[in-house]
Amino acid sequence: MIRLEKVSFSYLPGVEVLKDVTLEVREGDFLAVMGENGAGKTTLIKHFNGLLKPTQGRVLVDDVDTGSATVAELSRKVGLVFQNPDHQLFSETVEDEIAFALKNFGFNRAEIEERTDQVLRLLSLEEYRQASPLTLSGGEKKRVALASVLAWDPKYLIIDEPTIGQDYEQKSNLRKFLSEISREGRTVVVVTHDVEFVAECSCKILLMAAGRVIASGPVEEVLTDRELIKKGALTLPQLVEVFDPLSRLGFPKAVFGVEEASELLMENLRRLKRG
Amino acid sequence: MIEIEELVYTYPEAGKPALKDVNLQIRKGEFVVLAGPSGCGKTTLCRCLNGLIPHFYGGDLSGKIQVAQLDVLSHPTRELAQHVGLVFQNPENQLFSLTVERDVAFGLENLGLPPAEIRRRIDWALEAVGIGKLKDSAPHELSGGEQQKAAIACVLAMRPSVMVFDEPTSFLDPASAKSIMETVAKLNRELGITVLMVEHRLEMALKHASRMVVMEKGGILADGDPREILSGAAEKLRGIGIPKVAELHRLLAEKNLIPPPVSLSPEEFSAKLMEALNR
Amino acid sequence: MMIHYKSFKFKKGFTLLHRLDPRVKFFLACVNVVGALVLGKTLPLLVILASMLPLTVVGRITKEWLTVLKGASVFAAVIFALNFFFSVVGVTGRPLDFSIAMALRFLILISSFSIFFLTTAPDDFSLAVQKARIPFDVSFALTMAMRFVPVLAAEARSIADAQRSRGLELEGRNLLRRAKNYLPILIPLVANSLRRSMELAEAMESRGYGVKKQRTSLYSLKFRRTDLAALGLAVLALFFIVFTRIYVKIPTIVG
Ligand SMILES: Nc1ncnc2c1ncn2[C@@H]1O[C@H](COP(=O)(O)OP(=O)(O)O)[C@@H](O)[C@H]1O
Ligand SMILES: Nc1ncnc2c1ncn2[C@@H]1O[C@H](COP(=O)(O)OP(=O)(O)O)[C@@H](O)[C@H]1O
Ligand SMILES: [Mg+2]
Ligand SMILES: [Mg+2]
Repeated sequence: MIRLEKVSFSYLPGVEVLKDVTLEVREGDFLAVMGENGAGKTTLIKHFNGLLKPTQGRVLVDDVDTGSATVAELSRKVGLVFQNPDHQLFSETVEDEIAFALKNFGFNRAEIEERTDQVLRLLSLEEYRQASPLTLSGGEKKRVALASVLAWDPKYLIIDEPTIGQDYEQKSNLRKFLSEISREGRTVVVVTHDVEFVAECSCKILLMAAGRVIASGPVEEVLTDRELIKKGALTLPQLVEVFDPLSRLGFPKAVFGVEEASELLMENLRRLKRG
Repeated sequence: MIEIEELVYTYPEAGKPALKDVNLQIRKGEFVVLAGPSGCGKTTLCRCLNGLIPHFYGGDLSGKIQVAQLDVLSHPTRELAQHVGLVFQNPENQLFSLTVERDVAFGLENLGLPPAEIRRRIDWALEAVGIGKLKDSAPHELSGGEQQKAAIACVLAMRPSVMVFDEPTSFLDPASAKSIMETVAKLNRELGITVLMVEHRLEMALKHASRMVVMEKGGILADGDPREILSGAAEKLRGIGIPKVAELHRLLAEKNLIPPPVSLSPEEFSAKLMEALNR
Repeated sequence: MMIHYKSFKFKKGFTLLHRLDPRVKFFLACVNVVGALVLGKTLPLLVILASMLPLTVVGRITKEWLTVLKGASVFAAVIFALNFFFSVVGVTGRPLDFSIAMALRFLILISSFSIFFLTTAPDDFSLAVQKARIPFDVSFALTMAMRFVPVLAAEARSIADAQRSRGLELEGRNLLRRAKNYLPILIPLVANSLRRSMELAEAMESRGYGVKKQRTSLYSLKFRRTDLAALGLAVLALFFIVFTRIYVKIPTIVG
């Protein structure tokens, strides 16, 4: 469990970027941290592996205070994938890129080979094994970055803005992938402001605004709450916009998938006509 | 305004062409949204419109490109800059001065305008995109959305008749993205500027568009009225991420519950649904 | 980093010092440096250093200036120690005064240019460079370099964070190993800078860079009365320094 207790943080004296944040990421959780740019999301997750230490309060990773462990020790458990893959890719080949962290964490050669094979397969990167990471397209780079972290099998996987610059297909593949590894029991935290992306994940949401957590709850609750969405400077999912006014006729508000929506509407046509 | 005929382009040392036989005519005052999966050639097409391709990038180009009555192939980018403005994806790398004012001035100074005229245009352009108050701010003090608006003002101040936007909102959160789209729509509506915008957030962009062009693998897959295109075959458009209301509308239209063409916004859909039910 | 890049980064303001013509400010910094070089004794150097204080008060940068002094004092201490060691070992007459003077020279050098950069907008700086008949390309490159210093610093930090999260350790005793460990930070930093410069070039080209031979300029440097007064004072100071050097026997206050 990752626990934040009354955490406040300032980069510069007097400017609090996190304000009194208390939260828990439990084992097996699938969590989306949402909020507008500058809300403090990246700052928050940098506390999870000790890159940043709270100015006030404390952070515990499996009961270890991050103040008393090194970033490397904590990262073994908490894998952080940064927003910009260009900030981490540096090796000559994709294979080496993935092996980098494994070497740092002291895996032996056989293990390194096995794990590299495994993540390359998992993220459909096999054909790029010998390619230079710097020549890949944006989407592929993001996948290599993710693979290079998944390789050491961190208990907690934290991904910062994985949907930025991605097209629809890439996003929906990513969603499937994350849902899959979450079902298999890994703890996954996604940082994003992409409402439609989160709407179709079955996850919990932690909504941040101006350094505070302003709401936390299941997707169905948070993404249907007009007030909250406004406070978080997000937008309602499109289908919620459609179903929200229909809720007085007894329709559910929390409709996120197109198939589900069309079935609902067709089945209840009669009721609609009367209304 | 934009005339592209049989355009084929290959980057230097690339195996296959990035653009294959592209034909596209855009008239004055249109607002065209360009969609398509990553790597299909959208950015490449934008670069062709102000001559970055081929003058800056080199490579092999054949076909005809004319923008604002100028032949792109025989005019360097810096000359085209007064007629076609390009706004890029990453706002940070489009601002190079210490203040917004000086950044907007940069292009105007290049044109050799007198200081009084430069000052007039700076004020006008910043007001037009709604950041008049930020004139003396440094780029790093601005939010991503404000930076992008500053970048738009820089281009706008040069008074181009065509503006091309390459995924201007992809680094922004929903609220800032919406504000950028509205700004662009206003420039199109009130100043008559012809707009070509590459955008993944179709649910936001199509509301303002008069036309939609879909690319795939270096060629044009569909071109026409957004509602018409989205009402058609869903299969081949799968990759671009059809807005959910449009998809919902299409499914219901298939069952003859409501008439096509599809809606582009939740409000429009709700209204049409009610109308259909009351009939 | 003991001397932060922020020590030389322009701090926005509208004080008298900020509005002074950059050429005058640059001349002032040069006078200080000349003073530091030709007057090799503790007393006059202390006077020069102290004379900067009112200047920073006028420019409202006293805090920043003191930070610079603090950061630089570590180096100054090293300079002092080295000089003291060698002059004691050697034959030099008054090792203490001489070593202190050397350290002070260094402080004056650093802080006079820090004051210049803290109060001169890069754009003004490039205007001044242009006025000195250096081509616009060069002065523009200078502005841009300054604009991107903070961006690059933030990027370096972010890259270091990303690599540390992958188990990279930057601490440790072995110097060679440590140097090698900086590669995963340097490579992305360089690759990104190349990519960035490509994008910047595209953006500049798209905004008509170089279309007319004769570029105009929104701002031009105008020499105002205050500039003239400041220049006068600086020239006076220069004369005074030269006079002191030639005619005054400066007492040694320590050693
Ligand atoms: N290294 C830094 N130094 C100073 N301020 C910072 C730094 N990094 C982020 N900030 C500020 O902290 C706030 C939160 O930033 P961030 O955590 O990156 O937000 P988000 O990830 O939600 O967009 C912003 O106002 C940002 O300007
Ligand atoms: N500077 C370049 N040099 C060589 N190939 C490039 C360059 N830029 C893009 N390409 C290639 O051209 C194709 C189209 O890319 P691009 O226009 O960037 O697509 P989009 O903007 O639709 O994502 C891709 O296959 C890409 O790899
Ligand atoms: Mg962030
Ligand atoms: Mg592109």
